[in-house]
Amino acid sequence: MSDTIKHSMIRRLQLVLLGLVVLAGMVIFRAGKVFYVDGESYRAKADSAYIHYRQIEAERGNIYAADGSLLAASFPYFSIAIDPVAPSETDFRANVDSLALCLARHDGKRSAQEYRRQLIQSRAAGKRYLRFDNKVSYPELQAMKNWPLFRLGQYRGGLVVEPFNLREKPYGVLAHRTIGYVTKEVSVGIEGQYDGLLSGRNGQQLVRKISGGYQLPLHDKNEIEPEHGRDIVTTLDISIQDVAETALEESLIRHDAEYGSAVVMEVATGKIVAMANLTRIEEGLYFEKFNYAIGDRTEPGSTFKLASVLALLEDGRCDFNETVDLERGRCTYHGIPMSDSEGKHELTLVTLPRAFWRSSNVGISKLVHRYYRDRPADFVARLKQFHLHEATGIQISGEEAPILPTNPADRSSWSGITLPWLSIGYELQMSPLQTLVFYNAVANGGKMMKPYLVSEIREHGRTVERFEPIVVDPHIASPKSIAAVQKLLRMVVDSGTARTLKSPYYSAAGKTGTSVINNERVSYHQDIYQASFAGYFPAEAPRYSCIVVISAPRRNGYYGADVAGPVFKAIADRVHSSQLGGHQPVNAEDKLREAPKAKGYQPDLREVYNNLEWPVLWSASSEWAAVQSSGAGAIPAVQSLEFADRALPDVRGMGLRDALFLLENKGWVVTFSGIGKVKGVRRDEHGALHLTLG
Amino acid sequence: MKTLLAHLRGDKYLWLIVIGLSLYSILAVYSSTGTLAYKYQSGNTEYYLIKHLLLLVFGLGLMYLASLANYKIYSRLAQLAMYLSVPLLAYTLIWGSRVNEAARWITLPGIELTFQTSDLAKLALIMYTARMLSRRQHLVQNFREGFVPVVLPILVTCLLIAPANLSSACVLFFTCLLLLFIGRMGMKYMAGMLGSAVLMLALLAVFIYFVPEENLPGRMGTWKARVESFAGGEATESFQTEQAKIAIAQGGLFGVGPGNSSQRNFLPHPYSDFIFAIILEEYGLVFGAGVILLLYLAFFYRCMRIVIKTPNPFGALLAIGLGLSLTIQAFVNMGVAVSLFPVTGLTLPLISMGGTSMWFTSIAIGIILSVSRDLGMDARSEFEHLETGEEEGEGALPVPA
Repeated sequence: MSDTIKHSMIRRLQLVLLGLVVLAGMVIFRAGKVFYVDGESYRAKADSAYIHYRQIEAERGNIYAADGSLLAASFPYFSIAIDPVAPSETDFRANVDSLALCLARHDGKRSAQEYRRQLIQSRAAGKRYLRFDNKVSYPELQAMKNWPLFRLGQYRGGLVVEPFNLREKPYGVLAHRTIGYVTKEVSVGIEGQYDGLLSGRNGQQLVRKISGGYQLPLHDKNEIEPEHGRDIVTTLDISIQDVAETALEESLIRHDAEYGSAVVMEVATGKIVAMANLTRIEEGLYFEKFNYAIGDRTEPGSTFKLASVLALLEDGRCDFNETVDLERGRCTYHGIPMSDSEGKHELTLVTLPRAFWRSSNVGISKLVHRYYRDRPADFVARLKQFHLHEATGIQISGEEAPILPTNPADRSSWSGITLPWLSIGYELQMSPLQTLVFYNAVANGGKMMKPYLVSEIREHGRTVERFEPIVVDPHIASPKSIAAVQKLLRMVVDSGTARTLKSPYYSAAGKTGTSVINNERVSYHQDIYQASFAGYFPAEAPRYSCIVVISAPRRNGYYGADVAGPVFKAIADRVHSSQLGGHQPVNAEDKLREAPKAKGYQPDLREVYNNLEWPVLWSASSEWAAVQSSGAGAIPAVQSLEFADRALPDVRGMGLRDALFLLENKGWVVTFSGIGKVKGVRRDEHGALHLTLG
Repeated sequence: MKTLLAHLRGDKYLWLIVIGLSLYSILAVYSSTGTLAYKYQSGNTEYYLIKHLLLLVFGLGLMYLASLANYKIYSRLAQLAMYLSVPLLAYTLIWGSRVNEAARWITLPGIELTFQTSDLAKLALIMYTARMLSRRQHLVQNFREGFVPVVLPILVTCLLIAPANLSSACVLFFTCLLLLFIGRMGMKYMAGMLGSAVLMLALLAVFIYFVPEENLPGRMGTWKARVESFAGGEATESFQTEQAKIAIAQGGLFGVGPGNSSQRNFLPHPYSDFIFAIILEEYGLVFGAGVILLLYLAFFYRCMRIVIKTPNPFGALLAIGLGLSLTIQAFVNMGVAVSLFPVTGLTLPLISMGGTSMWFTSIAIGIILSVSRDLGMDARSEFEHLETGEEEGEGALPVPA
């Protein structure tokens, strides 16, 4: 019996096996059919040009200034083409005239008739792709979508839109090189350094090419969404960057210098708030081309004397009473002459502070030579203690460590004259930023901060990484020595080589530098100079440190104080007036003063008075108004101004902007002279108005 | 190889077939994971190869372990697995993680291992059906005592799988039906069962056909699209079907050679659902389709041999049920690749890259191997008991109180 069951099962199994064999045959048959019967057409479709992956560009992240202003961003643009074949005959005929008119109005390159002819001819010839405009902004595109024919939609209207992104810097040349850029060949600055983070990851999409240059997306599971890039927040302060850039440019133009760089750093944190670099393109024209602040190592010259004096004080070799003979500006070491930068003078025996703020090469080198001649290694050890042999480690690339001779025992790099020349900033090379970091440490009471330029990395507006200030060394020297050199630096501005930089409103400290350039391009005897100034302000409680280096000034002087100093001063002036309590609020000390008078566009006036916290009884309705004083301590009244259509408005007392707006809107031709508010209005013989400002 | 086989227990041919299929698997997976590697591993193609190798080796380990056990314990295990899988399926349907509206996966807490509940349920159901069938052989013509208790678990399981994975449910149902057929279930009941299943599918089809696609709940929209595209012929051919056909057309008789597939870049899931198309492209009709089909048929044939030789009816039904399940799934997958069937998400067992589902396959094969370990016509046939319904075998096992 049991065998019957088993045999019955086995027979059934054999049936199933037969079924499977049949199925296997069908699989083979189907596969064979696909290959032999339909193979040709499928193989044609396999052409890789027919279906391929298209990159979906990831949106590049933005770069922001510290206050959130946009420094670099990618903006979407669209390239526009027309497919004249797509619309139906009725739609095309009904709209071709008006569309041609819109096209002609948009670019003005061709007349409506020409466009009309082109559209009709292309349609007749079956041409599906007429390039129209390669760069159209988003609002423009929105407008275009409402044009005749186009408004029928993508398939019926024939508007072909291909998006792309363009990198733009809203502030133009401002910090152009520091922000940097990425091209196929080079990538520099923040853009280059953080390219990986900013660029995100491109996605891909499988598309099928169809006739007429279209790419039809095939929505399959292989599609990869692009991962948008991250945003970078820098430490740059737009207003300080602006003044640094402008002042540097002015000085470069005035002295027709080769290039220059200015860096401003926040003393307590090491944040770089401005970094300007300008290169001469031709006389009077400069551009941000190379980051000298980081990448240009030169012999610093006199700014390095700070290190020499700090070393002397730190070693306790001498104090402010130490004297040195300046020998009327000239001495020799091993037969090699050294002279003070201004040449011969009458000074002989002076104290150390005097030698420093006169920036005497003879004086400083003799002092260093006096105490370190027999043990130069001690001097080098002090320089190393001040981290003058180290790179700063700033977040963007291009920096190299300073070149500092560090082995007095090595005869090939250390000669009898190395020590005296080293003490005045020759025989070594360092970048402006490296010098600045040292000065910043002195300003910061001896605490050396690592400079940084990027404070945050954000993703979709959320902070994913924040960079905090980093202390390189809490004490590069004893507080006593630091206090002493701070005093010296302040004296330089108060009564030394940088007297011209002295401001009545705030105190500054710093050191000038004038060095003779000697590098691959120029040698010492060509008498080409590098002017520099490194310092900080306010001297008593330093907020910002700053270095300005200007290379190869051709005219109007070459001293650090004359060429680089004014840039420092312009920056300090501006920062002082805008940030460091430079202007006292008008009503802060004297509420009883008379209200300032003003006349102009009422919303603007409101803003000004509100900012001054000065109460004013505003008029409800009028656009234009004049604020009149109602006597000391009283709330000023507002007079509404209405200007009749044809009458000449009384613009006296207004700012130029308001005056021009009013007059030119009424059709007047206006010229002006002077600075300030409008004082007088005069009509000249041609009927034009001339405004006198004052 | 000989020494390795000497250590392996059970049917040597089965082991050889498994190794053969695994070799194809390694080659095809390595070749077809290029796009994945490009997308997620920045072009590190070895990543998926190594991952697959590890999964494969672990699977073979599981297979070996499963083959060591006395297969009679699987009868009791089947019962336990069945009690476990039904609630798990219900849980997955409600709370499982969704991929394309299909709630198929659950994650084991603690070890973070994700698996498809239906894989477990499939294994459990077939083992359980083998158990029930063997124990109620004397009642196969009895509706209340024989048919209902055997069929009820099948219906419940398939209905629970269907919403998330209709094709798996259908294939499982069909497999069980064949198993019942082999297990001599009364033909009139079988016909009734098949008839009602067809009727249900027909009702479902009508419903789907008349309701507009956007109003269809769950995965019905996908089902509709797939069936429509399948029924419509070349004009409505879906992207994947077309790409698979291109692969086959490129491959021809002998293929373009290992690693030379170009369709792997375009076919979705070239390493799992459509791996057979890639194998056809790279190895052609002869070395791709021919050899693999033969391997699967040989696999099934070896399972048949077990039935012929085993003295134990549970063992026979267990081996043939699991063998059938694997073979049918393989044929459906291959049928999809050559557009014999509409598109489903079934993998090619032992060949597709896959995580945990591969391990369930390995365990199933391990169980078959464990049955194949003690064969022998000279052993006292236990088929005799079937006529009377006397308990077999299990008496030796400790029965929980």
